[in-house]
Amino acid sequence: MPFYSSFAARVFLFSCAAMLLLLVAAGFLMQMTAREFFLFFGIGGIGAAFILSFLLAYIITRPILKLAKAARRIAEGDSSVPVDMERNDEIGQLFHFFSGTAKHVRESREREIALSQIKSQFVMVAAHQLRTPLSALKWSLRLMLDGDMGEINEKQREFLEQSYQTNEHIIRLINDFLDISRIEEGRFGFQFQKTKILDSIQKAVEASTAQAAIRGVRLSFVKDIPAELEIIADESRIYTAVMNILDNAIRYSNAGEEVVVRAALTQGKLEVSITDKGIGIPEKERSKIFSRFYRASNAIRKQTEGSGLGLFIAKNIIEHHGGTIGFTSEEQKGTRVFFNIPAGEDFIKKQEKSYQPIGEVK
Amino acid sequence: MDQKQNSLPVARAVEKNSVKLVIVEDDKFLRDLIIRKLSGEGFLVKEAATGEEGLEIMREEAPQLLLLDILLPGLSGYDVLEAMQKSEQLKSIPVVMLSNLGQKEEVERAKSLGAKDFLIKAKYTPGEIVTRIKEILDELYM
Repeated sequence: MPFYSSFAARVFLFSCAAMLLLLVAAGFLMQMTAREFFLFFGIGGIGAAFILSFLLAYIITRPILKLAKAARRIAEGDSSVPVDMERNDEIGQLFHFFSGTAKHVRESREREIALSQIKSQFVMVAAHQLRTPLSALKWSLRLMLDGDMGEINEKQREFLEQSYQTNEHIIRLINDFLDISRIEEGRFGFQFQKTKILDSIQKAVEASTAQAAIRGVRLSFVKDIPAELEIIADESRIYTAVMNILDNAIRYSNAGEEVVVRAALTQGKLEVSITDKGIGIPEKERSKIFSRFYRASNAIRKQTEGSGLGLFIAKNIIEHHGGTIGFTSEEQKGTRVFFNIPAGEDFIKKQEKSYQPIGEVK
Repeated sequence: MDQKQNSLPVARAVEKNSVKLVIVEDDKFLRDLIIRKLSGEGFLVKEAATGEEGLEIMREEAPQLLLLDILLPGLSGYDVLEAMQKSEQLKSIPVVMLSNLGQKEEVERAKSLGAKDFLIKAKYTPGEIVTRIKEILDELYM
């Protein structure tokens, strides 16, 4: 800040000028000659004007500077600033209100932290408590479907398969909620390791086959990458991302249509696309499609259930792998969601450096 | 997938009922389900509802592999892992965690205490768990 634009400097200059003017005015009133004037007031008078102005500037601006300092500390995130000043004038009032505001900020910040802790604890406990009985359902339905509990007929298989898929849907929802709360806390941990990426995608495609069959949607997987291709990735997170995109593609397709998953390698990047011929995304809503809890209006009309979390989580996962995700879509004609991930090994260092957890100010 | 399982050398040992497993799981229904699958595959399975019980069973006769839950009454899965690390007799038994926890910190903690793998119950079917157990046994013993 340049000297002349500081408030203290302005007060000083102003009062100094006023005092000097006063001295000159006094000289005129007393009909002094210039010589008498300098003899009478001399350097001492001017010096006194300087000192007095300095003191004045200091007294007036000191409380304001103090207030500014306190405000700056609050802005920087330190809300435990004690602001105390015993004054009964306007500046005292200002301090009084300011302390009140500071206290308010402090309290709401503390409440916010406590609330977010309670929320994440609740989500953790709820998720775990729900997962145990859901695992029991998953396992028993699977044992029956696999014939471990004796032979079952086709009709029974069909019903059990539907129950199994419904149960899988609940498990996925709970995983989504858990993931969201971890993303919000900035603790969405990744376990990167060399992964046979085709296997992870294959697993997600296989896990979606039954859901596709129930909805009468054909599902195919075009593998344009070598089966043994290994890239650094978090296997289970990639599975989740593909699963979430596939879930939408199948859910918003009409019976008899086809969903195509394709994995290819272009310019050192793994490129995965999932194409459907379903209801598409309305043009006006395309910018919101990756926002949390957002569901397109035609999607809600077709299917009331859905959390609106799938693509938000998928985007987060792909970006943590140093990749990008996007889509093209036309209403009533279909949607193509695609993402790419660097297949090189050096990205992991880069992504660790650029990793900025949400909700953590640095 | 079945073909892959049977092609592992370990499959022959399992068929001869010579592979012993211990499972520590406090939920009786889950325990029954997974034991049913494992027994059907030819494993000899001993069960425990608490960590303390599991350690006792393993001290009597060391299994080829331990399936271990984390949230248990009394000793937790982590405590069991620690106790095993301290025991000459139990140290070398491979452990596969089978829990519904499974966030990064939990997986890392279990692995740092010697766990071979971490399977989340809600994400794996009994069949997939068997496949994973066979793969691990195959790497270790065959």
